[in-house]
Amino acid sequence: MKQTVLLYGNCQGAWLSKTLNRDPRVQSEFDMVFLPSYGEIPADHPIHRPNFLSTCSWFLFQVSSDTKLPACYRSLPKTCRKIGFPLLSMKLFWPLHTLDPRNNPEPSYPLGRYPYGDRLVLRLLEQGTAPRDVATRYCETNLRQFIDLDRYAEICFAELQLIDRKADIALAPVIERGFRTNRFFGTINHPSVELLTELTAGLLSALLDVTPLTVTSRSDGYRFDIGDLEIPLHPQIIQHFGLTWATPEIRYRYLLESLTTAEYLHAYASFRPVLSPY
Amino acid sequence: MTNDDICLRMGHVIRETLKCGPVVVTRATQAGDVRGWDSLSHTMILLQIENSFGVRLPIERMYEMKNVGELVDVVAHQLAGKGRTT
Repeated sequence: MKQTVLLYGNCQGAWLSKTLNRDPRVQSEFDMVFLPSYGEIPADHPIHRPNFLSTCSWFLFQVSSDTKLPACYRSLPKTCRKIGFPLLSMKLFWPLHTLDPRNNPEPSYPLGRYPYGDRLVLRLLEQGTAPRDVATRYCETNLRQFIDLDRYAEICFAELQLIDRKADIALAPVIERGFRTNRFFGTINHPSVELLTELTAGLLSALLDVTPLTVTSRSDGYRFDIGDLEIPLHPQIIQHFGLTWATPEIRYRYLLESLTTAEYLHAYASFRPVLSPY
Repeated sequence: MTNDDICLRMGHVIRETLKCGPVVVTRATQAGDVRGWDSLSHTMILLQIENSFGVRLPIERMYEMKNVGELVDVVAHQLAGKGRTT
């Protein structure tokens, strides 16, 4: 009889659930049920069935610095094995991240045109900078005027380590070791397939009781499966942290377009509708 | 500087960092009460608070504070003691 696995998390959790389900060993031994930590849970979700929770043998849950477990957690049987895995984010690359008050959902942009806002762009616009001039002024702005980048990095990595300590799978060392040479993140909260594959390997090893080394972990390079946005980095972040993957020629996928940093900043500052598949 | 003064200045720092408009920040304010204050912006808010008050916040406490009041108390403690950077 198959064991039921309840996997709780955000879009990263959804990706993990789908990927784990593709593994033949998981398919033969487990029934994987994904429980989203965001939005409304569909009415036909198994969690609404009266005895569903008592059938769960595994609870895989995403751990953040302020983890809030779902109410159902308390109803899981004592024998249910609980495995925490880290929520992956990379604040270090986008210290200027903010919500843009101009951004609202639209039919062609379910998350709004620019769900990843930038404080410096907004400030430049407030100061009267024309959108066509924003990219130049943005790149010329010395971030050290208002951010202690080394202290910021210290706090960012401390948070990753804190999450690791609360979880059963540690990825902070992988990120810290490789962030300069590997493009691990496309946005502040969307990791690459490569990094998610590391997490998949950890979960597989827990479920199948094998050591991570015996799990087939295939790297797909720096592909981004979650979402269809990639956000450019401020040049000073690239320089200060020595990010060798962020070459001057790099282009960033934004919905159906592929933009340079300057093109993206111009589009974002003017709030231009980017070609959308929706 | 009294704790009320710290809370007032902290409100200013939070509004400036998040560009969230004229939201009133009190000791009872929690992250969820302020537009844009989520786990992604939390680190930058802490860094700007450090800069504004000239203190180093203890990293081990950064993610366990439940409201602005607790943050105010930590800053007050740092101002009074060892955590000053200037």
